[in-house]
Amino acid sequence: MTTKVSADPKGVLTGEHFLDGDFACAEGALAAGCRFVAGYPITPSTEVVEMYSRRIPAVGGMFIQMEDEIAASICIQGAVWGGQKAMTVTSGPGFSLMMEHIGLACMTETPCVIVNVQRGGPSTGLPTLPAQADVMQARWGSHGDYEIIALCPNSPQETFDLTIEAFNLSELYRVPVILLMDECVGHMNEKVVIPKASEIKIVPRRYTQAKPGSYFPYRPEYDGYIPGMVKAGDGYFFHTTGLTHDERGYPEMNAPAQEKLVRRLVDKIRKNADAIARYEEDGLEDADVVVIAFGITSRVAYAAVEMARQRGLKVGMLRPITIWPFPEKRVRELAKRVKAFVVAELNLGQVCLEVERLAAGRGSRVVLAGHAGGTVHQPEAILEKIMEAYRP
Amino acid sequence: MTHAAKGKEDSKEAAQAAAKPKGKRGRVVISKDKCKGCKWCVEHCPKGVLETGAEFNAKAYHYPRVKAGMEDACIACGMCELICPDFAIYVVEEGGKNDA
Amino acid sequence: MANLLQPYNSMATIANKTEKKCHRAEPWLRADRMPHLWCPGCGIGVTVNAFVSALEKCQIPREDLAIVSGIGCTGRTAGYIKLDSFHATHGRAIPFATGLKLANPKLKVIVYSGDGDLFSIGGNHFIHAARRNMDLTVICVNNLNYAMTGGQAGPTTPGGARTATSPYGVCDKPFNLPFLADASGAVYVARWTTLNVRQLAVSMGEAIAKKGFSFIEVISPCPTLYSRLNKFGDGLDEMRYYKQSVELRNGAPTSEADLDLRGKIVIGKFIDRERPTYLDAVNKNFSQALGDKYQWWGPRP
Repeated sequence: MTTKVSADPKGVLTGEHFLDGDFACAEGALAAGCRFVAGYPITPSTEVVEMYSRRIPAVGGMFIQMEDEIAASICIQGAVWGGQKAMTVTSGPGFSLMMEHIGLACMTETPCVIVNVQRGGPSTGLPTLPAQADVMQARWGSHGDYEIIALCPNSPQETFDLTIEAFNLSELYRVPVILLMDECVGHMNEKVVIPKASEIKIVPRRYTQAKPGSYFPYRPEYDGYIPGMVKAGDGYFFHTTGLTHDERGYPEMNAPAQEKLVRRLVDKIRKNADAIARYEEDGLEDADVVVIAFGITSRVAYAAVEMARQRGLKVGMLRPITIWPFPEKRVRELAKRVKAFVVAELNLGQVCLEVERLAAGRGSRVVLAGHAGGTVHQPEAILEKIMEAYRP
Repeated sequence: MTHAAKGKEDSKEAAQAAAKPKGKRGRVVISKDKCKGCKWCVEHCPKGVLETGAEFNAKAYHYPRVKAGMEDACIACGMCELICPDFAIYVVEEGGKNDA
Repeated sequence: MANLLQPYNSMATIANKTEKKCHRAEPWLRADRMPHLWCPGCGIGVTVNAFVSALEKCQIPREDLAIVSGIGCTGRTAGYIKLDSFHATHGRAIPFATGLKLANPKLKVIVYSGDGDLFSIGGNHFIHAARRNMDLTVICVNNLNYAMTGGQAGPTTPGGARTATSPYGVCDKPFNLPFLADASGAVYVARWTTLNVRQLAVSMGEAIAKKGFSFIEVISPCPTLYSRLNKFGDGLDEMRYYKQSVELRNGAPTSEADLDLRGKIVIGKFIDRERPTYLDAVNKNFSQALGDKYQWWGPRP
């Protein structure tokens, strides 16, 4: 059982603030002990690094604006192996550029946080307007088999809290964690309460207990799946590579080594999916129809659910907080007894594919309340889909 | 020993001393199984101590050997050791300077 | 130039040379990964030999050294050297090294990679790190092609050369790497060939000791691909070509270091200058702006 420690007060801006999601993210990172950020400007995420670059000189740490997102996404990994907690921040086009290095972080089990403040796409799309169309990309964007954790806050307060959670999960599972915000949450101003440092609990990096000479960089040491971490400068003379490798970290490129390594990388998340998955539910006990919505869309969906209830309809709400791993177990349970799911998302159908997969053959329908992006849903649009879900 | 005999001994010693290189001397150690037969040590030895042998290792590379009669010619300059891409040859210094 | 025959000082060296039981580089190499995968007559091993010689003499404790390589034949170097070592993605060793160095400024970080990795896909990162004067040492083993993937043309392949992707000869002009490094702001720029091992070892030592962005290009044979596809012979033939063609010109203008097919090769130490490193500039700037409130990053001077 890993003991959490209190946050370092130097990075904690205790108090009640009026912040947008981007600024709350920067504060969350500082509170989590992140002392290294490498970024590249891209709307609507830029304010995260602007705030971080203003704050870090007095807190103690490093911000560097790299020459592109490809550089930023690997620069943070170098920083992690140098002993720091590190984060990078981007939006759609930059997220696409970072895909190779997300794969590298998965393969080398480098704990780090990658923030994607989603905007309209594809391509240059709508730089200043919201969408939620990078959900599948967050899961499947890099090549090869891997599992990842992605969190979706729906308010600046939750952005602060989930940024800390993202760092904690990345240390527990030695995996890159994606904070999947959207432009709306990123740019909306709301009250953010930052507690005292002693009330903020942080997972410290789980370094190896082994001594130099008897250390295996990729042999599980914690929780059955997770190798003990190490950093340069401690005399371990270790090696890490993106090539398929053995427990010594040396390239071993054959099918048995691939099976052993990649199976463990996938299982460490998959087998713990139920423990990692977080969600919020409301009124599910007797619901006929369950609305599934995340991020900014969940704020609108709550209003739509309320409107439906006022009409006497038994509608419940399931809000995934981790979008990956998706709350599979809960959805499978619900699929057995509800009439239908309404998946409200700012895209033309991504999370609904997951829900369809999980609901298949269990008796419930899945209705998509989609939107190409550029603005949030109107509650009426979601309500209309709820009504559609009631029709035979 | 007669004076003449000692004189002969002295000049034999002197001749021997003249034949040995002055200054540092060395002995090369060849790790034949590491050699990949590139011949750079043979090419770059300033005293031409090495040649490619007829023998070959398990990977069929012909490794170098010290030329016959050149066993004392190595001056321990370390060039072979430094220029070998496979770390297959190194030089060990033999004692100190010669008397001369 | 330092005398390589003087007694070595590092803890990892063989103290009594008459008791020597192995190659002097052995304590620095991962014995459980030898023999390495480089071809017979490939020059990368020689550059590693010279590099280890430089490490033996450098004043930096071994645990404070780190090496980062990219993808390619030279990119395998990090895996063979027994330091904290990292095998990054193609072209991205330099930004990885940037993060490593800035996270722990006490480390001395060396990037060891090939011509295609550093200057094609990695070109943008090279020029920016040089521009920033990031405190890194970058060693580029230039074998004039992409060897690992089968001998394709790269940004340093001389015009007219035959390669796997230029069967009728390369049509464009290669980069002049010392010129590029110089123009980007590197504070130490040198070029050697694998023939000039002694100068190479000393130069590597200087580059490692120097603060700021140091760059060394080492021209190296690739008998299996580049030489074979151009019928230039084997590794020994290539070394003989270097012997005939190298022109030692320390301090020469880097603009005069162009390489062409089978022409002369200008070698030497071209640039050795001073300017503040990225971190020095950052610390100075924030100290001025924030005074006592600034948290100094890295060791104090």
